[in-house]
Amino acid sequence: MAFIELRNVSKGFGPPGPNRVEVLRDINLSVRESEFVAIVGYSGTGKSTLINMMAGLLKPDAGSALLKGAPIKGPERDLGLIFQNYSLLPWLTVYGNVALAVNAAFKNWSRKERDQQVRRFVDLVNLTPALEKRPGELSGGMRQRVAVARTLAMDPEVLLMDEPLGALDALTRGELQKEIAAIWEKQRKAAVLITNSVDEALLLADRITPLNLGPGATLGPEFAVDLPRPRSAAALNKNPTFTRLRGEITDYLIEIGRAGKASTNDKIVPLPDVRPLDPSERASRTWVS
Amino acid sequence: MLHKITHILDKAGLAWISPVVRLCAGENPREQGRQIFRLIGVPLIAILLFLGAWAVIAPKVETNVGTLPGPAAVWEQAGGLWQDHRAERERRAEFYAAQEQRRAAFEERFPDREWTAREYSGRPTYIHQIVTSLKTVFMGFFFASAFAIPIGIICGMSKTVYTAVNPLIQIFKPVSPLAWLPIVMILVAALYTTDNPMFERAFLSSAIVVALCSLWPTLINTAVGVASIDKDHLNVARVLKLSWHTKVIKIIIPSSLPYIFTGLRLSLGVGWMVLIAAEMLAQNPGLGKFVWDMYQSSSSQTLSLILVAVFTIGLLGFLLDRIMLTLQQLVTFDESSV
Repeated sequence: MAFIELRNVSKGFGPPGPNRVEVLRDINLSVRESEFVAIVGYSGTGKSTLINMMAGLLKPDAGSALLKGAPIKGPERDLGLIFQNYSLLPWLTVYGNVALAVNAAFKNWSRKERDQQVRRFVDLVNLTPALEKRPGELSGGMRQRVAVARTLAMDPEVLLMDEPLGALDALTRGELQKEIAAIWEKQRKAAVLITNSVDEALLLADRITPLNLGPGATLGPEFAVDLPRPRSAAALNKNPTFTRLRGEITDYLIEIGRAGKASTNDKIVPLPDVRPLDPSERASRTWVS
Repeated sequence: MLHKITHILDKAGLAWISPVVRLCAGENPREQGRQIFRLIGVPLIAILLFLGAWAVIAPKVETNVGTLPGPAAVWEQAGGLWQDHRAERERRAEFYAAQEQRRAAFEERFPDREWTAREYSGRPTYIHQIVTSLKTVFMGFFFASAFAIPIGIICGMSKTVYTAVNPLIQIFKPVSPLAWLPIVMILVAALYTTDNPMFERAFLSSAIVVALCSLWPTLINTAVGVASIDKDHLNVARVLKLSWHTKVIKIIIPSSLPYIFTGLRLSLGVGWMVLIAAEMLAQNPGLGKFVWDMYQSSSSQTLSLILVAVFTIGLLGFLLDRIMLTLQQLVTFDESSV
């Protein structure tokens, strides 16, 4: 049974007319309980729009977003969203940022229980030494860990990740992928990961769906990832299934990328014919005048 | 350590001291010397030039209360006012010492009777007038902030409220304190009728006028600050399902605090300027009344005393602004760390 589901969802922005941009069209996606689904695609194709609808931040124009069969009316505690740009509050410490979520989610807990919850999840992402630091004093990777801890500490039923590692350097990214994989394997919650990295998707997901190019982007064919867990990046590189899947998905993405470029070829905007002035030429002309 | 000190000085608006500190720490004397000349020497030269021009021109201007006083005469008057204050303070101390002696004698003679103490009723000195002015401006500033910050937050959060309030803001903002004062004085006289008033009416009227004129920068800045909160932060509030109260306290106020403080700083500046006019008319015993009284007395010292007041007002205004600037920088978080 589908745990979180998008049914024939379409979404666009702007008023009806020539300025309206249709972003997503006829999206059907369903995630089973304890399943990890990754959506890969080019930037600007509406990946964030897709996940924001699952998180209840945006409403579909047509179709419906469902959580356990009931329509999603707005953000809910069960829908844990990890933002692309961390979105930590710079005036709060690591503890304060996580506590903000815990206090909001568990209003009827005692002060001590909430305190323990905050500390447990800060510890889970290995940030206990930085408990009293502010986001400004942390590296990008550490900030994203705080964001992960903040979301997980609310104990959501679904984990929605909007390119969580997109802004990180390759090494930090690899490390955090490992951590997210380890945490997910412990909790086994329904998870949706938006990413632009096929490798990342293969490392984490049970199923990968590419998002086609917009406007009016649709979802591409599904690729089931039947690789044994726990997965490690080093071991995967020698795994033939991994290599095959990576080849297939990458080929698909390259193909839609090429098709997308071809389809935009017919509306080439003529550029004005401007040439940079040769400074020496201009100088001589000024002299003459 | 050195870096920390210079950083604090920068934050406190005292950046011009940091080359001296660096020089004391033995850091690149040539470069620091040049910095000292630029940050301290140049302003000092400008001030000296100003004083020189003043000293030369002033004696040539004849008025019906004598020639315009030069810097030396003004400085002398400032000293005189300070001497006055010290003498007054001594008289006050003597009065209370004498009263204490009388009380002891009284209680010895009539142990069963109650002693009634008397307040010293000397005239307010220049320093007292400065204190009164500061009290008034802070009172008005407090009224203004207490009104403008909450309204500003609501305006920033709701476009509808802002559209509703905006015309009123635009109409009342340019009104001069001199237009408000008569209304406020009449209203205070009519509404503030207690037998044992906590504040004098003149004080209250001046403070309210200060508030009326100075609340606009805070109101507008707060509204702008709240309206321009990072959308991501508001999304956090939505995703975490924060209550309205928590959202305001934990997200909206902290993130608009830099704007609010910019507004407060402007407000305090406006308030201080308005105060002098308000005190003149309301006869609140502060610097404004001092200037007015001096003008009325028209003695040979009138001009120099008024000039002392002018410099006092200027210096205090500068000081208040510096304090607000420091506070403003203390609450401003690092924008790049979001």
